[in-house]
Amino acid sequence: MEFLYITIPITLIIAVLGLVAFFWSTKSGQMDDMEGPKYRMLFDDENDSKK
Amino acid sequence: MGNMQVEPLEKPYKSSSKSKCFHCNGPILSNSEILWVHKDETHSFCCNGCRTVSEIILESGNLEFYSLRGSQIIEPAEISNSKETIRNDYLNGELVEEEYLREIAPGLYEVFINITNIHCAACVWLNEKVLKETKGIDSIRINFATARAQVQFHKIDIQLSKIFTIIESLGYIPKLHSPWKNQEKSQRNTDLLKRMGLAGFCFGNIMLFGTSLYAGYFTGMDLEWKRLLHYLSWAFASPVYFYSGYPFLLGAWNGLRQKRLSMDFLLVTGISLAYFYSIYVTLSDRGEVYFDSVCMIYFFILLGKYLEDSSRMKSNDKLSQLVSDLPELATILNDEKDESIIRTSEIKKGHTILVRAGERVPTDGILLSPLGYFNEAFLTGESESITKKKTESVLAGSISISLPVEIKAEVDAKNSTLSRLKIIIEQAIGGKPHLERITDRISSYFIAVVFTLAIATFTAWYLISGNIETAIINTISVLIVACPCALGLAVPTALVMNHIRNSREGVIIRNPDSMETLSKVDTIFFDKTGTLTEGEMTIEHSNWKDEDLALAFALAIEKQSNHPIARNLVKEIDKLKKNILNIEIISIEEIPGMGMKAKIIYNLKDYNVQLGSAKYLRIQETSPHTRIHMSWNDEYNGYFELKDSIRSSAKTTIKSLLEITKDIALLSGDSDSVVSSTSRELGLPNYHSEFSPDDKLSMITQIQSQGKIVAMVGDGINDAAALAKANIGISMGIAADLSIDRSDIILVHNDLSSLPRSILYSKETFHLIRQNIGISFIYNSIMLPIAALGWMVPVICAAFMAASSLTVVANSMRLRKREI
Repeated sequence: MEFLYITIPITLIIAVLGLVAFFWSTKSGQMDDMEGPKYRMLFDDENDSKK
Repeated sequence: MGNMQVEPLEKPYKSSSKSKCFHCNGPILSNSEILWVHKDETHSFCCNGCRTVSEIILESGNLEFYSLRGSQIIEPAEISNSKETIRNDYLNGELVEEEYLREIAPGLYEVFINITNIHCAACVWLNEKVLKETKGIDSIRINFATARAQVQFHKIDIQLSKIFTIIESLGYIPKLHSPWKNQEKSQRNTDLLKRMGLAGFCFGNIMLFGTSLYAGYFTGMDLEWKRLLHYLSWAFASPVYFYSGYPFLLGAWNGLRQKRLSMDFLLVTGISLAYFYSIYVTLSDRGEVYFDSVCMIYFFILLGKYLEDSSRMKSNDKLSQLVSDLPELATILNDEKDESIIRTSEIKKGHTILVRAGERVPTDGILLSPLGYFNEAFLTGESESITKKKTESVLAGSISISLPVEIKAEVDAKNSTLSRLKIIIEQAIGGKPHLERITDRISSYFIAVVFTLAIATFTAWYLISGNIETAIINTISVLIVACPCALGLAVPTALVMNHIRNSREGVIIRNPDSMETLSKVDTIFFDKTGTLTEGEMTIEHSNWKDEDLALAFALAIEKQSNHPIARNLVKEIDKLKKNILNIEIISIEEIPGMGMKAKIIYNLKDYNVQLGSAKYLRIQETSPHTRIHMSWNDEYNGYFELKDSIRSSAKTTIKSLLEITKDIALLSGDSDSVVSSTSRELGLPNYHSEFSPDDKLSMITQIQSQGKIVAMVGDGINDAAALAKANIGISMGIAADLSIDRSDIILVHNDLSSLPRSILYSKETFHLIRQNIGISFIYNSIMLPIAALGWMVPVICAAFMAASSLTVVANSMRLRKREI
């Protein structure tokens, strides 16, 4: 069971990275437009530089 | 615009040809079909605007626009043709640069532009595509929910005015957006999302540890691992307790300072007890931890708050779309007709404003130019243009079509009808209705009861078992399982949903209490002219002994009255284009509900004129149509017979309303023959004719003394007292004369049929609210004793509490889906 001392911290780091990503995306406004991505998927043109 | 479903247009078009406009898919009216040939194919369009836009689209090879658009109907494109050099100078000038542009890199500027008539994915695609390919534009991204474009461009390569022109040439209407407005609200919303996100994240992780801990609880676990998981749980619960729980801690503290027992306080106490007790357990290795409850409770409550806040924001957006923005700038003329541009907020009463074709009128005023055509669709939904003549009043927000006009400002911009309406709407949605104040009070009682119970539980268990741990656990259970969420969460949610539903139909509820009163309405009274009828009368025929005198007298006298009949007569007589005799009015008096009395001089002769209803002139009225009679010097001279069209929706509205209550009546000042035939035509069970405004008032008072709830539907101008006296005053549209202040509910789209729907909505809403309160009551009555008796572990309590919150909130959100 000692492996827990290794596995838990590693997975925690990954999980916290996810949390950080969530906070970053919220702050940079990616959560402001929930409808857009649905439609953008269907647009035909090449995806050039996003904001 | 957040919801992209197809909404069918319901305009009463009569199109002869079966074809639809190739561009907007709308019906093509007879005689206005426009054809265009492109690559051997002939396409038909409903208007030049659509044809022009289609030309641009097809010639730039963007045919996919149409496959994306599918079968939705979009608005026919409106192209503004004016060369607005002054506006362009403004856009490229310093004022705009300072307030709206942001330099993010040398020479690279960012601006936010609201493209107000975007309503489908195809529109977004078109704008983005065309602008992306324009030289000088670095990037453009349009937010689907808010129709706001974020554009980054190089100032040396392209000017802001050119960007605007491009958007307009596609048929869309750009408006500058100041990113600093509304920031507070969206900041709050983002904060909620962050706090909720964190709570959810930690909740998930703690539950993972919790699963092991539960297993260990039943089958045994080494202390070492238990300790590890305890410390980990503590580490995850702490950010939730302090960061996610911060608003609640603050709320509880504020409540304490005001010596109130708030819901926040209850929550915080329960959770703090769980949190600190769990820390004690972690440090002392004795017992079980309840960190998961801390996270779970905060997560679910924040979820509810976030959803509610988001719908509030959405409904605010919708409401402010209902009432479109005023232009930022206006052009005023001085006495020498020199133009200068000022901010709309700087317009003062008396200014002469120049409104060019395609521009919006910045404030209420009087038309100085001889003629003008206006579009008041922002208010009424009618896109047919309204002709106004000199001295007629013009509303802020209407668009001047094809003709530049001069207008004298009647009020400062912030006092215009539109501005005041906006304030009213914001207040209505922010205001706390009576119901919420009651539920707040009930909440406090509830909290007091739960607290007492908690203390009693603690004392009892300690005394009985002598074990402090058991006592604490059971107290925690009690505190956690108590859920006043029906009151705190579900009621506001339901009310906001109802508000959204109503505003979609153009029903503006000025007074939040009205929603509840509306659900209990017993009797409904209708006014006739302007309410059940369009209020647009035409002279069907007239019969005069001396026509020239009659016309002159009538025109002069009715010009002094605000009554819809008077305004119509003036308009109609003007239309006759006859030479009107020159007369002079010495004195004039309006007798409400009856007519007008005037002393007039013509050709050196005195005339005592009476103009009004048959009742006023004391003669018998036999016609089923409204007649205005006139006599002078005690000699009867003749009448106008007016035809007023009944609103197309009136009959079906009455039918729907009859299913709600049988007590519906028409109160009108018109003569009996007219009123009875109108009532018969509409299927109204009761009517009262020849009612003066005072009669209407006493009728309402009389019915109210019987304990009934009375609603009065009028046009506000002449029914002011009645509207105010009725339990619910409902007015049609917004007359230039501001019925706003006197009515509780305004039907902005002039659509009578929204009334029965609105009543049903409110019935549904309050039924739902009662349901929720019932659910909550039953839940608490059962769970509180169970928790106090120690039959449930706190974790289970937390689960139940969360489940009950969710049930009640989900129940309320059902309201949004139901459309009648």
